[in-house]
Order: sequence, then C-alpha cells, then structure tokens
Amino acid sequence: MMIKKLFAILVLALFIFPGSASAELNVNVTQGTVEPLPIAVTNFYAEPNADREIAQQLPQVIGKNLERTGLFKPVDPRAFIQDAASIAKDGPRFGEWRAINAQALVTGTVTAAPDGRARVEFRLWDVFSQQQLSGMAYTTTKQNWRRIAHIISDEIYKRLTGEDSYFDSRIVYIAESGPLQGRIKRLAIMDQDGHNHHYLTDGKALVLTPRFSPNQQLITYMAYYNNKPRVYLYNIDNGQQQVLGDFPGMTFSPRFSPDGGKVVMSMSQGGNSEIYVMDLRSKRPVRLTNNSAIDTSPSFSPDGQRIVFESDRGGTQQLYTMNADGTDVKRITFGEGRYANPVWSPRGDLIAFTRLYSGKFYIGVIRPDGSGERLITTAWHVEGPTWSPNGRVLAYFKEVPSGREGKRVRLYTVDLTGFNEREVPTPGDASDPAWSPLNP
Amino acid sequence: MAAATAYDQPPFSPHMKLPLAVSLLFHIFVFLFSVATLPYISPRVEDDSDLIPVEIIREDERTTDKKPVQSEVKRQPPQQIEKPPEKMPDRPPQMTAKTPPKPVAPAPPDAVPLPSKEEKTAETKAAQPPKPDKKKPFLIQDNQQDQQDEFKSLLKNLMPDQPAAQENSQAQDKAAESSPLARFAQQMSGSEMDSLRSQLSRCWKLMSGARNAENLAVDIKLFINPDRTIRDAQVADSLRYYADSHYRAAADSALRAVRNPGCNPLDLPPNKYEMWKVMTVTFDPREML
Repeated sequence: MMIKKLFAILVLALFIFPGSASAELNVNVTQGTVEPLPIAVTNFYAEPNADREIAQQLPQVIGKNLERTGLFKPVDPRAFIQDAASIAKDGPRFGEWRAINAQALVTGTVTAAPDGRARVEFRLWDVFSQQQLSGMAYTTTKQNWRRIAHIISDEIYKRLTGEDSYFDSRIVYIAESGPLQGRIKRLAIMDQDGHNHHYLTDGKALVLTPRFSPNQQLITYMAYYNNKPRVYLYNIDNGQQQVLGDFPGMTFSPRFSPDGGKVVMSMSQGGNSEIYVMDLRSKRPVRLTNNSAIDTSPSFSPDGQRIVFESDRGGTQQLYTMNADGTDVKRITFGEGRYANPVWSPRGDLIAFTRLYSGKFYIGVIRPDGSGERLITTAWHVEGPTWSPNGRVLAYFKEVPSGREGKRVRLYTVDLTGFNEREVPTPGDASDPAWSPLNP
Repeated sequence: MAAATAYDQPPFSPHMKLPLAVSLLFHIFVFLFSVATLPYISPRVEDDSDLIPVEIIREDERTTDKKPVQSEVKRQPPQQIEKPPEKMPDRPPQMTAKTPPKPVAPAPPDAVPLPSKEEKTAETKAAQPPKPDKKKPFLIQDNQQDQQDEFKSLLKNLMPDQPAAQENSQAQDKAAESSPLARFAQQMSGSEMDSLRSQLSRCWKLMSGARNAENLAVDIKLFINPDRTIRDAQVADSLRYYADSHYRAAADSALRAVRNPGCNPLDLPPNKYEMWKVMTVTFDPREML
C-alpha cells in the first residue's frame, strides 16, 4: 500500500515539475567550416646577451612549417598589435589577438645559457579561452636553432591536431644535373623544408632509389660502381659505403624492414627478378618469391608482418601483398594500366603507389586489403611516393616538359586530401625522394 | 720476522711520515690530473651538442590580461572579428590533375636511367614515357569521376547553408521532437534552432583530414548568461579529453567554436532564457571529414 502511494506521488511529481535540472536543450552541429586555423607566431623576445637573430628567425621557420601543412594560416605579422617585449613582460593581451582574428598564439623567449648555448622557450596559447596549451624550453647550440624551430613546430602541430608531426625530419633524394645524355646523379640530403642541404656522393657513380633506415644512421640505395649495379649501405655519420651482399645478379630496389635489421630487395638474374630479404647481421639472403614473372619494389608493413610488391605474374603489372616469409600472396589491385612503387604508410592504413594509365602518371593510395583506391595527384610524369613520418603527407617527384633542356624535375609534397600540393625547394633537378623518420 | 717488526711499529712512526706525505701528494696529483683531462669528469659543451635538454613550461602568473570572454566581446563587435560566413575554405584552387600540362610528345621522361636491359624490364617500368593507349576503356575516367565526386562532396559539405545541411537539421528536429525532451525543444521553434545551428557552424573551424573523424563527436555543455554570452563551457567527457590526443584536439576545436566572438552572443530568443540557459551542443564531424 505504502509502495503504491509513493509511486503515485512520484508520477505526480513528474507532471508537476517537468522542468527538472536534468532536462536541457540539446543541439547537434554536424556542419562546420573546413579551413586553416588562424595562428599568430610572434617574434621571440631576446633577453639581453641573447642572440637576436635567432629570436627573429625561429618564428619565421615555425610559421612556414605550419603554413605548408595547409592546416594553419599564420596571421600577417604586420597586423600584430602587441610586440614581443610586451608579451615577455606582461603576457599576451588576448583581446588584441582576438581583434586580428588569431585563434592560436605562439610566443617565445631566447636567453643565453651560462655555458654559451641558447635556451629557447615557447608557449602555445588558445586565444579564446586565454589558456596556455603547451609550453616547452630547449637548450642547444646556436647553430642548432633551425632544428629547435622544427621541434617547436612539431609540438604545436601535435597539440592542435592530436596527431604526430613530421617537421623534425629529413629527405634524402637524387640530385640531378648536367645534360640529359650523361646525367650526373648524386645522393643528397636536406631537412624536410629544403634547408641544410648537402651532397653525400660526388656523382662519379650513378646512384638510385635511396631509402632511409628507421634508425636514421643508414641509407640503402642502388649504385653503379665499376658498371656493376649493386645495393649499398651508406653510413650518414661517417660517410662509409659498403656493398650489401655478393649476389650473382643485379640487385636493386632495396628497402629497410621497420626494425632496421633487414633489407628487402630485388635481384635480377637471366631476365627474371625475385624478391629477397637479407638480415644485416648474418648477411644471409632469403628468397621470398619464386615466379617466372618480374617481382620487384618490395615494401614492409609497419608491423613487419606483410610485404607489398609489384608483379606482372597476372599478365599486367599490379600490386600484391604477402607474408614476410613469402607465403599467402594476395593481389590487391585490379585496375587498368600499370601499378608500381608501392610504399606502405607508417600508420599502416594505406599503401601509396604510382599508376600509369592512358598516357598519364598518377600518385594514389589504397587500403592494404585493396579497397578505397584514390588517385590524389597527376602530371605528365609523377613517381616515387614516400611517406612523411606521420603518414599524412606524401613526397614524390614530378617531371614536366620545360624549355630547351626538355624537362624540369622537382620534389613535391601533397597531403592525403590531395589538395595541398607544395614544391620542396632544391638547388636543381631532384628525383627519388625518401623521407626519414623523425630525428632521434 | 719482518712482519713481526712491522706490527711492533706504531701506526705513524717517524719512519712513515715521509712515504705518507709522498703518497698523499701523489694521490692528489692523480686526482687533479684526472679532473683536468678525463672527459666524463669535466664534460665539454661541444660533446653534447646533439642532446637538447627539454623543460616543460607551465603557465605562470605573468599573464595579466585574463578577463571574461564576454567583456572582451562587447568591445569587439562580432562583425569586425568574424570572417564572412560565406567564405570558402582556403585551399589551393586546383589539383594538378585538373590542369595537367600538355605532354610534349617527342620528349620522353628519363627519370630512371636504364643501364641494362635487365633493369629496364624490372625496376624502371613505371618510369617509361607515357604512351596514350586509345584502345583501353575509360575505366580510369570513371575512377577519376569517382574521385572528383568525392572531392566535390567534400567541397559541397564546406558550404554552411547547403540543402543537405537543411535536410539534416530538419531530421534532427524531428528526432528531437520524438525524444523525451521534446517538450523543451518544441518551445524553441525550428527556425530558432536552425539559426543557432547555422551560427555555431560558422564558428566551428575544422582541420581537413582528421584521423578517426567518425569517432570524434564532442559534447560541450554550455552555461549561458541572460545576455546570451557563454559563461562557461565544459567538455562532457573529460576523461577522454586527457587520454586521447585526437579527441582533445577535436574538443579544443569545439570549445574554440563556442568561445568564438562570432558566437557571442549566441543567436537565441531572449525571451526563452529558461529553455537555453544550460544546453549541450554536440559537434559531430563525421559528415565533414
């Protein structure tokens, strides 16, 4: 009886007090505006005795890095109301930054450490909430300031997108010069933004297809020394080169395993090429494919379990995947034309490739199971995709007919949406890029 | 006997003083020499130039200009700060595929040298010059069309006031009407809800290509002043905010939207304060990215 009364009171209460605190308006917003985030990167304040040049150059590099992603739009410094000294003394006056439509703000200070090095401090602010989102300080030699700019860019990118970044990384590529007949090809290396450029080889021997080791100290590539095409290892630290294995045929198309302990490559003998994997310690090669067709361009998945490669075993040149021991071969592309240069993304979710169809080259991506193929850029000749360390951007080379010399070859990057294509500055013609992992 | 003689001597006999002093001097010399020469005792700056010490800098008290958002908003009219709502995303105007350079037929690309026939057949197949093949069907064009449709659909989504958005909002209204909270939503008219949604859409800036966009819906609880400015905004799932960097970035984007001067004051009917003084806004990017 008592229970019935209580229930009746409860039901009555629900009718009498419908506006209880738990009932509130819900709004579902599913449409926004896809556009770059306006970000203000101020000059860094140089303390007395600190290097003023670094304080001015750091934010320029950071701003350019962020702008190149297509995700950020640096606010023109000429619009800034508050200067670096004022920020260092009083902190940001957020109202002034809102007035110039900045939604994120980067400030910093450079001080001279007692040992002569520079201490660079940066802060990332959310202008609307007036909160600091991130703040770090780095102490380094003055010569290393550009790397600090990349590391700060990485921190900003990661905090605002939630994803790993790629600014503190390098690109090794083939620098081309001279006439088309008798082209000189040298191994060159630079930061991902084209700075700190230098050559690793002198151009006396032809070099091709450089690939970074995951541990950064080694590059593997193909070179013609004494007219013998072989796969070589190049130690970035000491400049030493050594041939990888002694194979009876031509070896080419090398690529490291994700742990850096193995190199997978192709060997051609008697017109037939097969894929081999070699442990760098034992130097023992293991044959992974055994087919009368041409199997080449192998690339490991990031977990090291699978390998994607190109083969014409089905009649046309297509992409296949197989286990790391050569078993369980599956064809993943069935499109018209030819597929080549497959590269597994470091995120593991996509495989980039070159596709030649109907007289045009394309750079595309496809899921490892063969679904979701997308062609994201094209030109008269585009080839050799390589992934940024975070798997969001592809670098490749593009060749276009140009003037008397016949062609202009340059490196480009494009993000996965396919819209944000940028040229990577190089001193001359450039091909075959390979993007390094993040610097250690 | 010699050992017995030694035991018989006092610990610091006059005969031991000189050797002890020499030994002490020798040890001091060795110690000073080590300090001066061994690298691990006295590290040199250039030896660790590759190491970059990192410190975490916290927000200190030098930030003196922390004022409520709404007070700043009053000084900054929304029209001056907010971008024009009809502005399209700031992207490069075209993809390379749409304006391919005209191929110069007689000049084949020579990207990869062909030192031998073996390599030509194996490594550099894809580097061959393009040869138009008229016999082949136009499947690639279908693929291209599909790709362009994908891009078009993305562009189409960028328009804040497109028909699809209207249909979507109407569907949401219907869903709201059938919910237990319908009696409250019904007191906000459809046009009032559309107006609020449209305003929040303009303030919500998304970055393209976010990973796991289908799982990044963020609920923001708003506490609103009678003058329709936002008093406080909280992420409903604070646990995930600190555990998931992707979610945190998405939540920060949503918080920026509700704190945007363009959304303060919110486009709400002033006479229905009880209806909207506390509300939850779900920012769901799955249809956008």
